[in-house]
Amino acid sequence: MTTLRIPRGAVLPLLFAGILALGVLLPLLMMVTISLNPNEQDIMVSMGSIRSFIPQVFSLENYVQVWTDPVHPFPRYLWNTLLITGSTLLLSILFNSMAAFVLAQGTLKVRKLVMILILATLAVPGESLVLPQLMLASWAGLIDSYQVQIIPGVANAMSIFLFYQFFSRLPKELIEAARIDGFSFFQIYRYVAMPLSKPVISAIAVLQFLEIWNAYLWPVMVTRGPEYRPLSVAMSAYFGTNQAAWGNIMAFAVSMAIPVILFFLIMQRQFIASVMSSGVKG
Amino acid sequence: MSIKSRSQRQELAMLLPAVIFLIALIVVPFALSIWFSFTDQRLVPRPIPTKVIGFTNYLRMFDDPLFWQAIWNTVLFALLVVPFQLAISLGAALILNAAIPFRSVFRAIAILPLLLPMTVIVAIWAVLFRIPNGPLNAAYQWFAGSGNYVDWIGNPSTAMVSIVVLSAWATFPYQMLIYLAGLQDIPQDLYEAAKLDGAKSWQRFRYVTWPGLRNVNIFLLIITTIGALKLFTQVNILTKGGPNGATTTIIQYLFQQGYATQKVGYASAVAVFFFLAVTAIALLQRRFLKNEGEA
Amino acid sequence: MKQTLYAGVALAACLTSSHALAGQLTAWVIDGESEKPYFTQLEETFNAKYGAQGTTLDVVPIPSYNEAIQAATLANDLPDIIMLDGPNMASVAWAGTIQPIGDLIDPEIVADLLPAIKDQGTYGPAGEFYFVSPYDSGTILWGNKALLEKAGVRIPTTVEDAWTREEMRDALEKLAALPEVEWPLDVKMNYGAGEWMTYGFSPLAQSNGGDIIDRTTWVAEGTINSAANVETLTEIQTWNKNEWIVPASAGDNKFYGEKTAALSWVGNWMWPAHREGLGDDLVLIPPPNFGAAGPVSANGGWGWAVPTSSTNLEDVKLFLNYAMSSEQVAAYADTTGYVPSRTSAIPLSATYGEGGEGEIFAKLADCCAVVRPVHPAYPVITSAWSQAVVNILSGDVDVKAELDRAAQTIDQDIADNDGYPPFGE
Repeated sequence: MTTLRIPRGAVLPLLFAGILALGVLLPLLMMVTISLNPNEQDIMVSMGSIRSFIPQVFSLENYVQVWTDPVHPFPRYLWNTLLITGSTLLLSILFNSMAAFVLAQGTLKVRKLVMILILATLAVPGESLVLPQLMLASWAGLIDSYQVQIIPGVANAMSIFLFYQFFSRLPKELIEAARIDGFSFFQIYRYVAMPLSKPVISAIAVLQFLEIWNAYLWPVMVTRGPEYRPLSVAMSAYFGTNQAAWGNIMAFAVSMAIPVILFFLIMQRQFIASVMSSGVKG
Repeated sequence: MSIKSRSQRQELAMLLPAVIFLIALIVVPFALSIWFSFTDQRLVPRPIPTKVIGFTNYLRMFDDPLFWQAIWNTVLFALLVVPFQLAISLGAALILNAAIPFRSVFRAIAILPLLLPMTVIVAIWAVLFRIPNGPLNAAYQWFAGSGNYVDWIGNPSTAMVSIVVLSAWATFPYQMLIYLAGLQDIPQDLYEAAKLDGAKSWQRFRYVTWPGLRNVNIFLLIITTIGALKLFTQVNILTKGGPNGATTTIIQYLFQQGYATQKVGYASAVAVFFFLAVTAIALLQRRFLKNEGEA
Repeated sequence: MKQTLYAGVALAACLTSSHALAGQLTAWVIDGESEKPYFTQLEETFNAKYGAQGTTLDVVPIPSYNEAIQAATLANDLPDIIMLDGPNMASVAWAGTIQPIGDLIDPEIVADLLPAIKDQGTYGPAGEFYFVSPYDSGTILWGNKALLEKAGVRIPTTVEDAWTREEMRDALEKLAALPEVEWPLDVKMNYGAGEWMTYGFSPLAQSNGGDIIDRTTWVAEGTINSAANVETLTEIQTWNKNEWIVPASAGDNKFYGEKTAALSWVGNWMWPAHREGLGDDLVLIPPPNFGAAGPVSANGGWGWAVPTSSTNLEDVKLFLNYAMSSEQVAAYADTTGYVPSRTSAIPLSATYGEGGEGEIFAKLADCCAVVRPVHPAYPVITSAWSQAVVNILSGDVDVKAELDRAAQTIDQDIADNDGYPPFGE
């Protein structure tokens, strides 16, 4: 009899951890199982039985269908999503950190006013502004483009606030020393502050990544077709038809989730740390 | 002098992009919302002129039973989901903070729902909720006997609870991670001291862990509540606010009025009301919790 | 920084605008499984015929079609030709988004259209032609012969001997008693609060002498919430309370897949699925006779319209006349199971001609079809009515109160738009 060495006090927590893991994994297992079954009729029949959680067939037919459907061009949706997410993150981190650095370390008189503006906008629920934003986008002729999906994420009061908190804790001597060495204000930001703020950057990047990758309401209103639509909207279009083909829907779902899970596996350590810190210090 | 002004010009150049976009994205739309709420603005231009109509939108809004239902649904959702989700998150955090084997694997698994887009989660749960033979009903039949089923999202009395469970499943890892951080910030020697005093594990939780999480709890209570008040995506895809308005939330109502039926003026009145309500709730919570903490 | 931004915006503007090159037509179509083969065929044959003359056609199926049209309208960037759902034409025409097509289409074709199809495309007091549909549609009761016979229910075959309300109630009760029947009647509650609720349920109301709006005064109060409508919907609500109606979350396939529903009240787009699922057990039963007006069938559907922004009119003309040619109209019907919209095409059709299995649809289109109101307020009318129907069928809800609320919503919208001039003047 082999014994797995488990500390005495850990048996109960381990049991609970197992239940928790099952609660998370079972629905996901079902998603994968259905996605591997090309037979819609069989999916319907086995739904609810144990067979909907343990794959009986391993067919990639649904995946091939989803990836090669000419009306729902998956590669295009994926590219759109990647482009929008990437551009937004890049611009957002640049703009918000620059502004936060000025607020934390600058000398401008307007800083107080800007700070009030930022704190006030923190309180405005973004969802209540989508209609005027939509009208503005249509007046600006931006509907159905990448920009209209990128711009709303580039200035983010929460990011500015998080950067601000970090930058205002930078040691005064460090900034002073750089200034004496002849660094301009921008150079101090670029060569002193930014290299030190990797943890903050990754925290903000991770949070915004999830927000943009999963965005739904705004993209559905501002895009007219596959040209600029992201995955999330395409997914709900699949889902919205009357005769839902569950195999295809689940194959789409898995395909959409995998890039995020990969991103997570690569960034796991920073990811957990960043979400943790965003909360407590935020 | 010239150096200083050059440096200040640099500062201005660094500050402006974010400020301009914040003004364009938040301040201007907010001002527009207030303006639209006093007009009969439509989404797509009409061949008749848009008029200023005073408080008509607000009066109609207060007169519409569906609006009040939407408010009640939103409040109900928040009241249900906040304690439920925070309890799950805290429980999960306590488990995953304990010294168990494969802890990092369990942590990675627990985080998965946070990574999935809400559209994907809704698709999964739509299958779980299916009648009469979806997995949840299969489990239900285990207890209630075969032939019985619950129309989880199609029955007005269970629809909101179903949305609560789905939402908690979808987002609990976020709160869990913040709880984990909070747990790690509690000094270990407090536990040692409690152990020396002979405190049982429940007592250690009650007198060391719980007080140690006070700030985390306040923070999570506020952000989870505000998040709950914005409930939309799940409802919009899964139930479209039905059955019989049972899952129509304020944002869903706003979307129906302003986008589906294009009454931007009217929806703006709803938006202004929503903004005031959320701000008031956030301020009240903060004040109340601060006072309680100081007392 | 700023300059790059402007450059970016300008560049994007160039990329996004799909302003038509002469000879290059783009048509947006709905993304439906059953229509897909037809649209592929349309694009191929059109290009084979006109490509050499320098006119090419690009047919683009668009998922989430309504949202896409909304976004494109806001962007003022619609393609040369779009598809619209027939009853929404008036609202789009009133807003000035589409242009009259009377001059773009061969008068012979217009003269040959089914009367109800012509009505569906004719807008406003001036009676201009804005919209043309290649097909007509209808609702009937689809039945599972094996189950109906087992329950000992009479199966009507002609409009004259359609079930009365009482007979249908009786049939449902008998069917519900069969062990293999879970819910006897599928009325497509899974379609949700959308156009189907008007398309599918207003005929039942009209059969009982009701309607959803007064078509001369354009007032909803007194019509949509009339005693007749309350009676009709109370009846259906009772069926639902008796658990005779397939609930929304039970899915689409109870009738044709699992065969636990014996009747399905739905339009002819389900024909292919029904035929495949039920085979020889499939029977086509005329709409029930709910009261004063006899059986009523829905009609109309998606068709072609030309945005005001479209300037490539010579090519659009080619397209419209090609898509509405009798061969293409017939091809649409053959592929999708819909009724051809041209009178001359019906006798030619194997399905819908004399003695054909779909003869009943052609008969219904002739005797019993009521056009959905052609009025710019239609989006509000249909949303108010369908919301009321869905609510009424969600449980124990006061029918009259729901309909009163719908009446108020509709009349308020019409007042808010000054009666939608030139209507109501």
